[in-house]
Amino acid sequence: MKSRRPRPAGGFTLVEVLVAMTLTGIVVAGTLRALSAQKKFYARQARILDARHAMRAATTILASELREASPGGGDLYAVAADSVAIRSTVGFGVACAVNEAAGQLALIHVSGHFRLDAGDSVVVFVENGEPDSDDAWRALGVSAIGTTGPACAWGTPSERLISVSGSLNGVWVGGPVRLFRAYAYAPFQLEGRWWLGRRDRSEPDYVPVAGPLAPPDSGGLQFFFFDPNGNTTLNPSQVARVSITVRAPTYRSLSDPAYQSLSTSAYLRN
Amino acid sequence: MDACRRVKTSGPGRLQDEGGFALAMAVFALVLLAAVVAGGYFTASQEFQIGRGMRSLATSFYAGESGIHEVLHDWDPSVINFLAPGGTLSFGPKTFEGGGSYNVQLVRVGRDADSLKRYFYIEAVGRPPGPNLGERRQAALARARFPTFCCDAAVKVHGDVTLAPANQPQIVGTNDDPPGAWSSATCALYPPDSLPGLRYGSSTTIDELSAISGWPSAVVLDPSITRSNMFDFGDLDYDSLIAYADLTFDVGVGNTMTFAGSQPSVTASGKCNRDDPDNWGAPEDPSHPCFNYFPIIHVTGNLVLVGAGSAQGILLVGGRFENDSDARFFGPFDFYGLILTKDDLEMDGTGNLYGAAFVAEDLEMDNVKPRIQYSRCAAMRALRLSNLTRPRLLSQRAWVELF
Repeated sequence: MKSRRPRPAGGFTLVEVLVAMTLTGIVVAGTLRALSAQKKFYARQARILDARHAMRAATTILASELREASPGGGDLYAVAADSVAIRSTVGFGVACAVNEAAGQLALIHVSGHFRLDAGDSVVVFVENGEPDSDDAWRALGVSAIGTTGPACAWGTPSERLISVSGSLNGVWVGGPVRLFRAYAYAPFQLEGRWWLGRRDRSEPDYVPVAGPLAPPDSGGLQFFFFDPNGNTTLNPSQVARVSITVRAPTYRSLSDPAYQSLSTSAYLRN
Repeated sequence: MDACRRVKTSGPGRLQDEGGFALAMAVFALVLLAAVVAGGYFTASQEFQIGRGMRSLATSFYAGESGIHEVLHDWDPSVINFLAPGGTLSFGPKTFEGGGSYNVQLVRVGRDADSLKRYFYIEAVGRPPGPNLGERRQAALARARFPTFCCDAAVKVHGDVTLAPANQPQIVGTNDDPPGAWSSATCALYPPDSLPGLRYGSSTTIDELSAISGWPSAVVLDPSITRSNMFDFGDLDYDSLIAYADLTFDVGVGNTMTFAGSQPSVTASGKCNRDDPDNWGAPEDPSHPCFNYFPIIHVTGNLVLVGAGSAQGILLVGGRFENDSDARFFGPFDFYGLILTKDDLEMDGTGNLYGAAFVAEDLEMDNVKPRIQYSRCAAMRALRLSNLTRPRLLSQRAWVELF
């Protein structure tokens, strides 16, 4: 008869379990630490991205507005170190038929926001006589805008018909027409944060168009205006180039916000 | 990790895994690592995409703007200025080194087919490299203007006129279009008219009237003519004409430049080569691309047109201030257009001037059969096909970024 030897019971010794638990703890702690660091990293990256988005948006809007302005034509109403008031083009067209008696212009090559509700204004190129020296632009109030009008002088259909209050004497077929609104851009505070704000010059309140930006005392929005000779100027009619610098917070902590900044230059085309 | 694994052999060369969590830990670590990498990649990718988008927009913008300026620079007055109202021309696509490209559409906007001022709407679409990524549109309004300063005589002169009758000189103000080698079709746009042969100032002496003909009279005394207002053309004067010059020969006061005739040339694309200083148009070859090229030529010293050559355009002889620069025909040279000289105009040979002349000092016609034949066709073509009619952007608000 054979005697059977009992098999040793399976399992871990206490030492093995302790070693395993210690190692697992170290791995888990390291993992959590890594995850936490990653979370902070992502959050910071997200804040940096948000700041960059805000700065890009602000500089793009401002550069686009300024690029089209005519300083000599009075499109810059006022300029300051952190604000600008501007005649902003919101619509464009070419006069293709002029009815001086009725005060109506038929337009073609229309672009932008020719809303059908009146209340906007236009500047119209006035040819006057033969010399170039009597060329001018005339600002007129818009009393009505329609989508149907007389055909253009060369027979093609017009795209808009605008009725204006004011004389169309001297306006030639082919002259450009710009629909504009008077806007002011400046930093303003909303719910504890600073934004690039825009307001109609006839209205007191700003609406945010980009941000949040750094507070004014931290250089959230800075304009530098230059004349044709490259000298800084605050004379609106002398501006040829504008340098725009914006700063936006990335908030390393609420008490210690870090800032990113972005600068761009816009040459005034007109 | 190795401590957690138990491995025994169950046969020669075979291993059996009995358990442990090394694999799970490795997979977990890999997942974590992948998450980190994916997050970083996502962030970087977003920033890259935004950056690329911004660059595309900038490329589109400047490509479109270049398109407008290239159309203005390469303006062909003989084609574009004569578009009917509503007429359209397209330019491009042109791709720049680096990938940006543009398409431009030009439209003549205006009412009157024969208006002296012509508006053009130029719309450019700029595109970055790649399919439809960040297209931007912009437009500009330009105006071409036809000058009206010419002419009230075949020759307007401030100084003396010397016409030796034995040499059979002629100053003809009555119509004889088409001039020289030109055909009636060339002059179809410009109905002929007739003018006095000579308009002269109070201090002028004329040695021989029989060589001058014109309508309603051969000569007209104009007491208002002075040395200082000789080139006063309203919005234009001699200096402003210089500013429009296509070709400038700065030979210097007192020095003489000799020109033996235009040598019209073309570019690699077959267009008239306007950068060639020897190309003063092709007046006697209607099929040549330079037949409609009327350069404004400024010579700061004396100019002698020699030989049997020909040329066309608006010729300015003399600097801004100096009064001692003569224009001289020497031989059977034919010129089509306008000649403005700060000093004398001398015709010494069988040459012809078809058009008109403005002479600040003396007119001398020597030797055999020199002729000045007023031609409205030549004068108008010189004015309307020259640089003077190149369009300029309207003042103040010509440029617009379209929505």
